[in-house]
Amino acid sequence: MGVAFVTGGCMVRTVVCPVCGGEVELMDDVMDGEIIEHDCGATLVVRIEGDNIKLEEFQGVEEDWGE
Amino acid sequence: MFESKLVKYLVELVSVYSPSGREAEVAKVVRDIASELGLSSWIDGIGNVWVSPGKIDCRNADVMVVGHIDTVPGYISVKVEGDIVWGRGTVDAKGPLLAYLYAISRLEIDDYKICLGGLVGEEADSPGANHILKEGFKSKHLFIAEPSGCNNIVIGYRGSLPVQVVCRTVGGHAASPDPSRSAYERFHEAWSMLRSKYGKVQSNVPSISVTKIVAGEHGNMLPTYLEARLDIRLWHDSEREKVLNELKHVFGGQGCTVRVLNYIRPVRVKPQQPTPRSLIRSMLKQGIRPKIVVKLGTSDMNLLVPTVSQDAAAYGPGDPKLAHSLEERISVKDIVRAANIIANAILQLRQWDLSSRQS
Repeated sequence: MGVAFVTGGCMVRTVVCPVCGGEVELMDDVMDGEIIEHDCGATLVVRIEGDNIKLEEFQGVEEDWGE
Repeated sequence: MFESKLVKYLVELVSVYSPSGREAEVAKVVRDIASELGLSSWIDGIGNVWVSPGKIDCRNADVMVVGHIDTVPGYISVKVEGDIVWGRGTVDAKGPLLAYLYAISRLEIDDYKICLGGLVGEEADSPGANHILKEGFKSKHLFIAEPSGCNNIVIGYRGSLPVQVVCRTVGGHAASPDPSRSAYERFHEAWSMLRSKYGKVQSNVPSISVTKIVAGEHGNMLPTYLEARLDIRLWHDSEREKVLNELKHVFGGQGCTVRVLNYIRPVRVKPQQPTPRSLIRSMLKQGIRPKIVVKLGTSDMNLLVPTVSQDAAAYGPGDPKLAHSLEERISVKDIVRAANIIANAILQLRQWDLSSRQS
C-alpha cells in the first residue's frame, strides 16, 4: 500500500506505487476513484481519505473482444 | 421529453440501410438531425459527414469525435419496445454517434472548437479515416464513438498483422502417403508447433488464427500447393518482429514462405491522459465506478492515434457483444446517460485547456 505525501503544494502530488515502490505523480485536482497507469505497468486507483492519498492496485482492466 | 426525440432520431438513422460504400443517404439524415439540434453540418470530399456547433475548420480542433455512419451488411427490421430500439447499427455505431451529437448540442460553448465526424467505411478498409489522415486533421483530444458500454472506457486496441503462408512440394500418389511430399502436411506440421503458444488469447502474447486454407489439386494426389492466411493480433508493436521471425523460422523449416499482407499498429493510451481522465472524472462525479477496457480487435483509433491526436479514448453506449449480430439493440436511456458523461467530459477538457492557456 502506498504512503502519500504532498510535494511543493503546487500542481503535482507525489505518492508511492504500491507495486514497485516508485514515485507516482498525481495532479493537484485528483479525485477519489481516479485510475492511472504507472511507468512500471501497474494500473492503480486513487483512494482519498481526508488529507491522505494512497494508491491501490486496480484489478478492473478488462479485455474485450471485437471493435 | 427529449428521450422520445432521441428515439425518433435513432429510428431515422437505423431505418436507412448503410453498409460500407452506401452511406450517402444516412449522411443526409445526420445533417437533418444536426440541423434540428441547432448544429452546423457539411459533407467532405470522401463522404464523411461533419457536425459542429459552428462552421469551423476541423483540421485543427480542440475536441474531435470520430464515429462512423456505415454498418456491417444485413438489414435488421427496426422496432421500438419501450426505450429499446432494434436495428442494424443501433449499437455499432449509430447509437454512440447520436449520444455525442446530443451531448455536443447541449454544451452551448463558443470558445472551444468541437467537431464530430461520421466517417465512411469503418467496417471496410476505413476510407473515411484515411481521408482525414491524408488531409492532415489534428485535434488536442479525440473521442472514438464506438460501443463500450456506459461505464466502460476503452484505452487500447490490439494491432492486426495478416500474413500469407505458401507451401509447395513435389506431390505424390495419395495411395502412398508421405508427409514430406504434401503441402498440407508441411503446413500442418508447422502450425501444430505454433498453435499451443499462439492459438488462444493471452495477455501480452500475440494470438494467431488460421482464417483461410486453400490446397489440393486432385482426389488422388498429395497437394503440391497450399495457401493459407493467418490473422495475427498484437498487444505491442515490439512483438511484431519477434512473431514474424518465429513464423518464418517454423514455416521456413517446412519449406513454406511467409509474406506480410498489411499491418495496423496496436494503440494504447494511459488512463491519466486528459481524454480518458475526463471520462473517468465525469463518471465518478455521477456516482459511476468506471471500468477500463482493452479491446482484442481494432478500430479507427488504431489509425488515428497518434497522427490526429496523441490523447484519445473510445467510449459510447451499447453492449459491444451485440455489435454485428442479428440482435443489435440499444436502450435510449443509455444514450442519454452516456451523453451526460460525454458532455461533462468535454466541459472538463475545456476547463483544463482554458486554465493552461491563461497560465
